[in-house]
Amino acid sequence: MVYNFKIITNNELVFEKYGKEFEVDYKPGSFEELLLRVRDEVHNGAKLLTHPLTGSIKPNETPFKTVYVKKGKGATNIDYDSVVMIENAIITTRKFKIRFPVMPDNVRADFALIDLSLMESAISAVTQA
Amino acid sequence: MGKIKVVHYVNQFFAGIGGEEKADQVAFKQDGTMPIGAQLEKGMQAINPDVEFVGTIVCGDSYFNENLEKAKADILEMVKSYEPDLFIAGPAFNAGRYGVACGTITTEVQEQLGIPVLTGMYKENPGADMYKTKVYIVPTKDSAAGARDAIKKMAPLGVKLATGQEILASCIDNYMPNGIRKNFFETKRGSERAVEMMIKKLAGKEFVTEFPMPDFDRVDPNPAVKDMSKARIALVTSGGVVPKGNPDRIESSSASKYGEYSIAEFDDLTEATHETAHGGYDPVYCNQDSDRVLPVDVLREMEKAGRIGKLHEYFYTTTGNGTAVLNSVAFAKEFSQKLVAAGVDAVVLTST
Amino acid sequence: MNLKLELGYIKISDIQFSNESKVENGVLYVNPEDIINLVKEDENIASCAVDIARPGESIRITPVKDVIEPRVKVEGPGEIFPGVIGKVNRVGEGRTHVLKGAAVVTTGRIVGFQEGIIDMVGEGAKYTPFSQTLNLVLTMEPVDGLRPHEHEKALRFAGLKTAVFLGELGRNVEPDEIETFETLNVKEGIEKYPDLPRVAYVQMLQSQGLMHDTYVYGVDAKRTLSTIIMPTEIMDGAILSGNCVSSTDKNTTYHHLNNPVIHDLFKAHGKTLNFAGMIITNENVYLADKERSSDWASKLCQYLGVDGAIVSQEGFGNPDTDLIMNAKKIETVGVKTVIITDEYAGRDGRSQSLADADPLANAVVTGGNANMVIHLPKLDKVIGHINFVDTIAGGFDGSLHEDGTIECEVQIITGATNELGFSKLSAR
Repeated sequence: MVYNFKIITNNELVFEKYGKEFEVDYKPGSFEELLLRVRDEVHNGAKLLTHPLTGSIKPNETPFKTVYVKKGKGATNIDYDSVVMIENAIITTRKFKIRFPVMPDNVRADFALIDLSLMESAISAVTQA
Repeated sequence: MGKIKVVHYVNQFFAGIGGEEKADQVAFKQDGTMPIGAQLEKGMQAINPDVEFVGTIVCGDSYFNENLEKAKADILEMVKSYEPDLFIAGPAFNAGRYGVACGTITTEVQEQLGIPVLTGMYKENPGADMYKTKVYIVPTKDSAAGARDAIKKMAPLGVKLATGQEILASCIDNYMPNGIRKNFFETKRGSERAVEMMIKKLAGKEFVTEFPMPDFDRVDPNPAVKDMSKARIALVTSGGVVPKGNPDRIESSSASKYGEYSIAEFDDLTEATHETAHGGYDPVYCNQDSDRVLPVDVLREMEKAGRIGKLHEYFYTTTGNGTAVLNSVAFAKEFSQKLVAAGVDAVVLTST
Repeated sequence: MNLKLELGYIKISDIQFSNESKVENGVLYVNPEDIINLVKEDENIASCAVDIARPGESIRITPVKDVIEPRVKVEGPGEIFPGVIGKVNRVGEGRTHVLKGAAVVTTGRIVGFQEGIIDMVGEGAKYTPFSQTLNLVLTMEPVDGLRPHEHEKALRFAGLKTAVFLGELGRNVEPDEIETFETLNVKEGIEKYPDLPRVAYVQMLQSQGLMHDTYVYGVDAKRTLSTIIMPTEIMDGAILSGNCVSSTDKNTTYHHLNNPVIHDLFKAHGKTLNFAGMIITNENVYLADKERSSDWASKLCQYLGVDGAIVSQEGFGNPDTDLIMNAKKIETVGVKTVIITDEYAGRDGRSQSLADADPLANAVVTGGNANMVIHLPKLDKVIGHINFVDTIAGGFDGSLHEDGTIECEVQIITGATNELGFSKLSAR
């Protein structure tokens, strides 16, 4: 099965779970860096399929973020709604100060799990779309 | 505690000197109060008897606005000479130039002298929008008939400011919302307020939202240029037109910068010389001929025909696509200074 | 064929431990062994400690998972928490007894960054409604190796079962006060109040995944389409919380049972407006779901032919998008909206409050700025795990001082900026 979406994530757990089945663009990095990577994709025509601020955990708490996008056809086909949404998410992220420069491993693992769970809730919708 | 010293600023009218014909009154200071200041003083004394209006500064509205730098400097010195704990200007009600003067001078005093300041005016006074995020402005009625009401609101806030008390939310301490959100406890819970707001909204009555949506900034156009044949016209675009190769690498979307480029040597933009950096629309036609977005060719013709005075040497450009409003405002603030300094009379602003 | 529910309030003035669990003369007596046995029926729970926290006592409860009001169905079909604890039969009619003033509070470590503080006294107490309730607090530890999904579920069920057990003690107690809620069908409503504006309530339910879920008659709300529900069904526990994140603006099961929008709409019903119906809609992570759910919410408003709709929110961030979509679409079909939200305007109050905005959302009620910094005193007793304070929402590195005081954002407090409008905190 070939899907027309891809998963952009900085969460290794998501990569482990979905990496074989779907196209997963996994790269470790900060929450904000992840949003910027998503924005790059949006600038190349990708369309957001999930909200960039999934979950009620604040962007300065969880280091993990995963976003599903519909693959783009290049910069000539930009989805404006996606541009606005990712920009708003970046603005919101920047107004919070990172709270845990050093995070205990167990907490990190829990945040990774929550991020994965949030994205699991959308995977069937995405694969059937 | 000793005296709480207040200096008050009024225009020629409230100083009893005269109306518009005396608007060129040079700034001067006078110990004690003028009539409206006396009422304000009384209102504040009722709350704190230590309040004393030690001096009043009078300045004509035209004089202030036409001699801005000198007026500001002179008035600052006058304020300083009293070493006050609070500086109050107005209330200006709906008097436009007076309101702007009140906003300007209170902002100046606050920034330069570090003294708490307060003013008051009608919400549609142009000074309100210009200064409400900088200084505390009490909303008043639109004419001096509302003086009593204005004083009732200004006096308690003035006492709080002068004595360094914490300023609470705008709806409690009666100042115009200044963009700083402050928490407080309402007397009714949120759901009840929602039901009441709903009933008002349905009945077509006035209701006040507790959170105004961000301003989708609308700008009124300037008055028409009187004589286009003498006007210097500049081109500004959010269509991303740049010299071929995009030398400053302006982003295709969500731009973090703008470009300033000379068109002195161009009568016509071509595929060889210009292109667009903009994403989000089909760039083919702009890349073929950037005049389609930045109409240099047409303006040159008009320049030659004498229909416009001159096409300005530089154009300013960025991509509008997804660019944050804050960034756009910052760009425009910067380059509009340059345009004004270069004597540009009007700008043709193109998008995509 | 109108629906009528009577709520019989049994006013509880104290909770005490006792050999026998019962309600007598307004006192709720609890035998902790009864509770522990009940909770440990679930083999996933290794231990359970039971405490009492009363208003004014020097007690801090953290991390709070859920708060639940004890209720029992004494007349009419169905049972409390239908489809979860009770049978799936429909509820919302007959009579329900409420132990008014009492609450079950569950705490426990599900993940390492757990959240929610209830202070029974001091500065923090001002911000949470649960400083005013007599709380029976359960601190539970799971068996080793229990995964977060099962752990969350175990705690959720333990709280609900305990609340049902306590509610049952009020079955044969004569209530101090009875309040009646009557829902007319659409036709009856229009005939009875031809001149009053008709208003609907649109409740948005958090529905995003682990620790972000809400259940309707036992169904995970993320798998639902926007639908119509009777407001009295909610008073019998048709909606309950599995949401453990963003304590300040999550709706606990207690909030759902006592949904203030429903109560205040009923109060105005027949006087200034006609409470014409209630719609529930979800807050999913998938953007197409958001579009679909808000389309359906607005379509139902249009179909009911209401004049206005109050929309309430739950949670931070992407629900702002659902909220604005709902407001925009409902306004676009000609129905006037008032929305209830809260703000994240930064500690200095200067940042953009919401993650989304639209000029059509011109009537907003706010529960305040969740980023506001407050200072909590050291309290004598902590129930739960205080070392979580540094890591829970609203706390920040170094927020737990050596002297036991806490410097934190108000969002650390359970229910502080509630988006049902349950509290009086606001901002301008």
